Amino acid sequence: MLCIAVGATDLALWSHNRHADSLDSARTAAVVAAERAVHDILSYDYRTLGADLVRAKSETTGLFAKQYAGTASTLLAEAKQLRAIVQATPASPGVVSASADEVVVLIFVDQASVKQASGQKRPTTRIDQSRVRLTMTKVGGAWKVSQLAAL
Amino acid sequence: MDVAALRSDELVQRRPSGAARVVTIGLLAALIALVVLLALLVIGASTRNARSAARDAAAAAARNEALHLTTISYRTADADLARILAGATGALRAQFAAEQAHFADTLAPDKSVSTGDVLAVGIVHSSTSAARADVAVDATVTTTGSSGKSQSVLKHYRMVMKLVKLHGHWLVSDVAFAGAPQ
Repeated sequence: MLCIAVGATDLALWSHNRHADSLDSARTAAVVAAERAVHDILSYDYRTLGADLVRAKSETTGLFAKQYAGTASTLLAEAKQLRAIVQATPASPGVVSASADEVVVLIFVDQASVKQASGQKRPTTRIDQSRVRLTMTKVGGAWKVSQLAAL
Repeated sequence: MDVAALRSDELVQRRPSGAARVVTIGLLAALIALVVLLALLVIGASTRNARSAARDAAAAAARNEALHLTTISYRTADADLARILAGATGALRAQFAAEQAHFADTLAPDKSVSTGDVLAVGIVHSSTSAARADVAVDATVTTTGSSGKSQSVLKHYRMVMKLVKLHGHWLVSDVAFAGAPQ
């Protein structure tokens, strides 16, 4: 009788610990993916735009994937015309919330851009400081961006 | 009494008791093993719970202090500064303690009122005694000139906070602003 009771408690605790550990690995994996994704999504070079967009798209999922695909085509035209080069530098990502298959990450991103419209003598440069909140969702073992918001 | 009959009775009694003893010993061994396992699992669970609680507490402390740092009024300057000091330690506390004497005076001329709004808090890393948090916080700063005209400015902050747990409380020891200054 006692064996069954203790055994059942062991099982419950073991399950609890395993769940906590899976949350830890979810956090770690999602953060790594978020940092890479935010760089790929917010950076682009008019000379390699096709490849840039394909790579970024592969890191998105769900509704956001559709939204991104939509903005990407507009971006394609604009970027080429402005000869735009944007370099996004993410700073240390922080976890806002985590579950086994969804992790919300906050990242401060600096976007350095160089643009030159035709007829402009010199290119214009600027640095945009943004606060990006990404929702990372586990899709087939990989963590992808299902939502992206600039706060 | 029939000695032979007695002996066979004893034999009949001994066989099941022998088997029962083996089973009892086996169960006891299993029980001991399960109890040892229980102790190990409890320790493991307690560690995980402590880390989880620390993460949540550090995030809450970061949120509160970010709000206090951005919610300051010339009317309640001393009380507002006291609130900031209560949530601070180390370098941050020293910084504000040094300003304590003049704090109200710097806000009074412009009748400066700041209202903070914490948009998100992310834990960069945490242990049961220290943490680092990113806080996205906005502040609406309203100033009133001598003419009586007031203007409002919306500021967007990217705070990177260092926190430590002291005497059971999570306190912010440092606040930096992320990225290149603009």
